[in-house]
Amino acid sequence: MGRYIFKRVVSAIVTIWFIMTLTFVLMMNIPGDPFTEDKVLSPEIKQAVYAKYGLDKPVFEQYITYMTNYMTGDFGVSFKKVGLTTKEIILSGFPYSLKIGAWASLFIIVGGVAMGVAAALRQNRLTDRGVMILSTLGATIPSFVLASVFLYVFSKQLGWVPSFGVGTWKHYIGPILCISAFNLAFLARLTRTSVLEVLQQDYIRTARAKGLSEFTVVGKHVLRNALIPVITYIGPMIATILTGSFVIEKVFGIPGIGQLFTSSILNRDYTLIMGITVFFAVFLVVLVLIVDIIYVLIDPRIKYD
Amino acid sequence: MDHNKIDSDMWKALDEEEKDAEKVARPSLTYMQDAWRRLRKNKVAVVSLVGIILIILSAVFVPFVWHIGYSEQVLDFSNIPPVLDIYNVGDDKYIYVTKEYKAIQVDADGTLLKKCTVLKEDVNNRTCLYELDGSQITVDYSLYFKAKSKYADLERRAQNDPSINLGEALHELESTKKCEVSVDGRVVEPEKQVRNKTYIMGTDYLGRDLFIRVIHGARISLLVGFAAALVNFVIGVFYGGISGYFGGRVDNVMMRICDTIDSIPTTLYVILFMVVLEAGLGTIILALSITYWVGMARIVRGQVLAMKEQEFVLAALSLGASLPRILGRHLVPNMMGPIMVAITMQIPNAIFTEAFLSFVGLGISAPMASWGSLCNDALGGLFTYPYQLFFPAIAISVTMLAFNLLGDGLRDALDPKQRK
Repeated sequence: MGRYIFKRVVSAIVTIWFIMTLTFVLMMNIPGDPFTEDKVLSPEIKQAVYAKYGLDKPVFEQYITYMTNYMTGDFGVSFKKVGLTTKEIILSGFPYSLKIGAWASLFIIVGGVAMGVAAALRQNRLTDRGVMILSTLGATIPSFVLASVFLYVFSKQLGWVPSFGVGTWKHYIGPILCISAFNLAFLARLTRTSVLEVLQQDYIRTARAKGLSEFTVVGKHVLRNALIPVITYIGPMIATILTGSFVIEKVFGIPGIGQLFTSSILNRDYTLIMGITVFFAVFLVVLVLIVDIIYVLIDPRIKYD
Repeated sequence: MDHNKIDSDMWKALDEEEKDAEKVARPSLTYMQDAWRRLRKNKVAVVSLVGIILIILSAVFVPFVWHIGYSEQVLDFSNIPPVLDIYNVGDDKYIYVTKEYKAIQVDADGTLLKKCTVLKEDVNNRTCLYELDGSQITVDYSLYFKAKSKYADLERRAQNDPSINLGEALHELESTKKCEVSVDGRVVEPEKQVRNKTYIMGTDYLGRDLFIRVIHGARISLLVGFAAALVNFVIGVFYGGISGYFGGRVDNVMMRICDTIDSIPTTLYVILFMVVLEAGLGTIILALSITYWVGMARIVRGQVLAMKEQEFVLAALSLGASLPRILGRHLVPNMMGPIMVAITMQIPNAIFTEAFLSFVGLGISAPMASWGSLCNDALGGLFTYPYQLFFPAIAISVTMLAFNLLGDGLRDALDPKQRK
């Protein structure tokens, strides 16, 4: 097992290196440079500006500087938001996104598992049908449509929740619900299938034959086995929440990183785009790594060489 | 040598019925015929398939016959909803007053005629004065404006005083009449609601016909969906085919590459590609293709691994068939089932990602329209012109639903494990 974890860590590091290099290569290939749209600079000034940002050096040297800077947490300065470093900007938006993401994850896992188990235990009955219809709808309606409809119905027509911003806890209801919908639907389906499969197993029949109460059978024998595949879904879930944040934060006007990212794209703020991309990617890879390691620790049946 | 003697009875002709014993009663079905028969029994899948065909047909043909082009602007008729409250101004003349307090002359049945001539826009008294064939029309929106400023005041105070119920106040504001219309000094009420006959889904903020824009959006979205699925299919078959066929070290290395690409958050990199490359339809398809082929490659590899040891491959090999021929003529046709399911699932994914990109502002550029960019355009005026979001949102949701349900149906129909 130790060897497996070591291999996972190494492959995560390789992935992070690959991501950073890919980002660098892509950003180097953007047509023009950050200073092309300014008024035409005289060659001397241009030279001085290039020297200041290290753009006059050979590409490989720039790459080395970029890698060492990023390793030490120096993400450079924003091109468009004068006087702010990329790191400061990211740190200012991160708390909002983290808050929404964490609550959404909790909501998805609790809600999705509950819905899935309920559907599986009442297979082909009304509960099951209801959950399956909900989950089909949840998986097919894009989050930005859902978010806009939510805003229109609950803020405009009913006036239950405030529309934009992050003032009170009520502001977070919409974003959390809308960002969760897709994953909630998926997880409910996954849990249902998994529980149905476990219910067929011999050890469940044994447990029933022993005369255990239905509650113990489900709680102790079914759930503990059925939830193992659910854990593997957490990685992709975090990725979807992350990309979901781009549109959800835009619709609900939340100053999180998703919003920063989309606005930095529209402003062509290259250092900020680069910083946020790397930040997101590394964050995701590390989280998935942690989930994978937890998975190994939880499931004793799997032997990793 | 007794047993060599053949009884003459054995040379007699059989009865007619006995001859039929060896006959196959039903015509034998090919795999695809069988799958099609099973798909046809699945009502949900058939309805989805019909829906998808209808969407494709209308996306292809409606723009040729519709009387308005997707980029035609009539600024006088901007932001006109699909359903109009019209006022009778006498002599069987009707006007519609927009949310921006512009008066537009309409037919009794809802055809837009022209914008009324503006006599005076009195911003201080919040009234507009229009002229229509000699009669003067006044649009007075001061009442609503007062209610609105009262609400704004309340909102300011609510920041310090949590006891103020803003939701209720907002509701009150919403129920205030938006404007008062009077003709030659006589106040008139909206006489009836009619459907907008000129623009059946209304117009957007530049006075473009929303219906044809939604249809045009369908063209773009479906094009992106099918093109991305096709490119993914080609790359996936080559990559997965080579990886699975050669196996061993080649397979190992190629699958490691897949693993690495898999662990990258793809949407993030699609976005980055879009930033780097010139915006446009081709770029979207390219960006989607670069990142989304891995799933298809895995499926093909798995299938090839399972099939390459079978006799028909050996037979083809001994006949001297080349790798492309074995792959294309022998292996791929045998794994069309899982591939078709994967493609049906990939099309809505691509449509979704395109809509997502356009919504973020990275997709196709104006005046072209896709469902994502239409939703994005509608977002700014969501509270005032909700219909602008409604139609593209319905279009995209219905399409996604249809593809997903068809995919489910196909999987059930093509899954050989369920064959009886």
